[in-house]
Amino acid sequence: MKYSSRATCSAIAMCLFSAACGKPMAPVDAGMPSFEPTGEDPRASDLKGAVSLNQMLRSRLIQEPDDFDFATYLGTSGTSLVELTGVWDGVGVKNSFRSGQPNALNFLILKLAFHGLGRDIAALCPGVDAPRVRGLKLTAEISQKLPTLCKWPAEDARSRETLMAVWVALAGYDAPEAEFEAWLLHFQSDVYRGATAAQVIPKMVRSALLNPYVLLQP
Amino acid sequence: MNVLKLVQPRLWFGMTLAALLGCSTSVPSIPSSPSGSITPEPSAWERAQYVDKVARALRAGRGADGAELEALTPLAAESVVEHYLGDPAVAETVLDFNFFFLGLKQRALKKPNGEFDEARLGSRRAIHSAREFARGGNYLSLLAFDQPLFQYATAIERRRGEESMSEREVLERRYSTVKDDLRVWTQAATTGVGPSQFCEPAFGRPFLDFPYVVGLGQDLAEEVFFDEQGYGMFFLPCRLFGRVPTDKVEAVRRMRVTAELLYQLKLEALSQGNATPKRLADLVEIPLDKLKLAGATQRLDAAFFFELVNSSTNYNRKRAAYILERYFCDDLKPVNVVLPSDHATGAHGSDPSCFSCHYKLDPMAGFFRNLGVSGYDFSNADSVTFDDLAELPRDVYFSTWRSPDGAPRTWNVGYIRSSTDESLNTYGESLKDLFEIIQQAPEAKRCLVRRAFEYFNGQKQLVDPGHIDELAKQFTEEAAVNSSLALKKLFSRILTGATFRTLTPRSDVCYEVSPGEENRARPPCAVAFVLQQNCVGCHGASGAQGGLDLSGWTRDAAGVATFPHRDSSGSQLTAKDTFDRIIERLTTNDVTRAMPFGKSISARDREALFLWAQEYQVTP
Repeated sequence: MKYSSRATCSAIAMCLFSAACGKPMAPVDAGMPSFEPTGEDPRASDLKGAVSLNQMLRSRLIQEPDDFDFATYLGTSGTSLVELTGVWDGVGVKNSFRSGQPNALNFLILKLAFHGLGRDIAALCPGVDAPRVRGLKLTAEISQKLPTLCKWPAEDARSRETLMAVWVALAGYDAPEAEFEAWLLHFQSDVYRGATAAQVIPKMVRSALLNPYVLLQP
Repeated sequence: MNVLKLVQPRLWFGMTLAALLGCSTSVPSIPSSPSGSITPEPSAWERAQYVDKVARALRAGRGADGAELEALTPLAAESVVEHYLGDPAVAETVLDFNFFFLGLKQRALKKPNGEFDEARLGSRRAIHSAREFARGGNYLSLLAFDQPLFQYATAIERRRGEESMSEREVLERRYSTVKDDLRVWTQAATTGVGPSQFCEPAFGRPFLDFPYVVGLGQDLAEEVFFDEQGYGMFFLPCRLFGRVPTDKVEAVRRMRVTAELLYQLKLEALSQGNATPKRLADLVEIPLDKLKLAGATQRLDAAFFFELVNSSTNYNRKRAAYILERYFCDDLKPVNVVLPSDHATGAHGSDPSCFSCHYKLDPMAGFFRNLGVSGYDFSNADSVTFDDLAELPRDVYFSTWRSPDGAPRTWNVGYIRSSTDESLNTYGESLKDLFEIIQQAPEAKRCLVRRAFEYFNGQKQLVDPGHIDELAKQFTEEAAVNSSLALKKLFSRILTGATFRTLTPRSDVCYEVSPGEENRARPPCAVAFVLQQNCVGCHGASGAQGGLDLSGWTRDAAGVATFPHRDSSGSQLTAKDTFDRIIERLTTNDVTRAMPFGKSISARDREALFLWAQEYQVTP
């Protein structure tokens, strides 16, 4: 399958997550970087897959519970739904990576899962509802920054240093720096100046994790 | 602390490593930017990207933490890779890679709580080889016939009512059930009950399930199942053919001895206190030599005989295709081959398009000829029963592989490289011979190297076959001394290679080419090396027979990129004309026209050329 470049995917991801916000948003700042397609890229990456993505979250972001699984955020059929985001499977001797080509359905599944995760992380801020995953504890690096982030829209919450820590905890260094800069610019824009931590954190989580560099195999 | 602030610009993972390791590189500096342009000096972010990428690749998905990024981003690529190659988790990556190589890659080898999932550990050779790697031993035991007889104890899954019981209590309870069952059947055997009672589905079920339900792994249950001296003689003939062994008392006695031994083995594993392993090193090795197991299932992975069934029409070809694909990287694309002049009229032999696969598939299938239903060994029987339960006299069945009178060998069984030159082929008779061939064949080691490249860089990533050949050559030389070290060096070469270092590689770009080819205008890398090896001797720049130079790359009058190909008047032919002719010469079975003329070309190379030419013809 050939599809357009990751930059285009980034644009789609950003558009989708913005459009899905519960509260009407102001138009995206005119100063935002352009996400124009850059032409066809013959590269045909698959998604990293459900297991890899979960492992990535557990390694970067989630310290506890030990058996954290983002399928939890997809309801009772979660474990079946995540199969549609790419798994190694087969008849036992000729296994292959299946359901891993990016499409609207697996993108939607991931979006829903990451939305749930984002809400749970926001729920770790004081005064917000308890997270759905019992005993959710973040890794040390992001835990240190969370109290600051919870003060959103305070200036130190919106600082480059805080947001970079959040980005690295979510997306690691999977994406080029330009992706982080675009994400940073977006969340430092006036769009989120009036939002609360409970509103903005789920969007941060979702948009970083839906970045194609994070989702796709290298 | 922000790691990026600490990284000082300096010469980083540049080209020096390639020179040190003898790797070939075509991209002079890395990593490249996402657009593919060259970045002479990687930014601090890009260095961190690389470190994290290496960490994830070698530590079974776990990325670099802040401290590691801080320490490693200033270092050269080879130092970064060396650091992570020293991590114990690399053995799990090797295990995962082994599964990938064997076509058995699992969605996860562990449960969400981090314990190994016994249901996923279905390949003894994959596990043993990874453990050998971890201790610096013989990693290439992966390709060996004889695998050590061991199994790993894993956690016992509790059933309803057992939640509060200790593992030992559950074990005692289940062993007690087996003993009760066997006592009943010992009595039945002694009093001379008929076949129908012994063939009841319930017979021996607790015994059959025992290894699995006490956490000795699925494999072991199947091994016991196939114990030719004991239960196997009951179960298969009884269920499938309605026959019961004459010495029923001895058969039941052997079952009892086996159950007792398994019980002791599990007790021993529990006493070592590690029946819920989270690391490869934690897996408790249980010697099975006392079980006196027999049969081919010891040698091949558990799923092999159950998934690759052998019907009375398939004649083991499914199994042969698996061996060719997984051990030789030959996926049997049907590209015509030259028919031998004394071509036999065997199965599928008279049709060239069928023969193109069957000339190598059928002789490979012959290695499995003694194994019938579920891998059961029929060596000593007059007939063979297949998985579809059809039965054939052995002589009739074996005639498929019997060589004609006067032939230099009894069986036409082997690894076939050429349909016309037998001296290039390697023949054998038994499964043991097959694995000898696999261990010796350069194609198998090259296949392992190619899979390693795919494992780290993606299965769709283009690579110059010459580069893989070079890596395989180095790996083979080093593996002759120490195959675990050789694998580490192979991983190092791949992870410090230009393809992996390119942080956003394009799958249609070759980042590494064979040595000496870096700066020359050459055909696309997918085929350049194949052409060089097989064709350029006659169709080179200095001796372009037929006016065709397969070492160069130019454009025709319409601007389409193609090989330099001139007609008698010296005019360049169109790309279409050239490619029409190439495809015709590659696929004809007329020996006077087939190319390469008078030479043997490997099936792999012919396939690569044909598929590329065919695709290029459609979309130049």
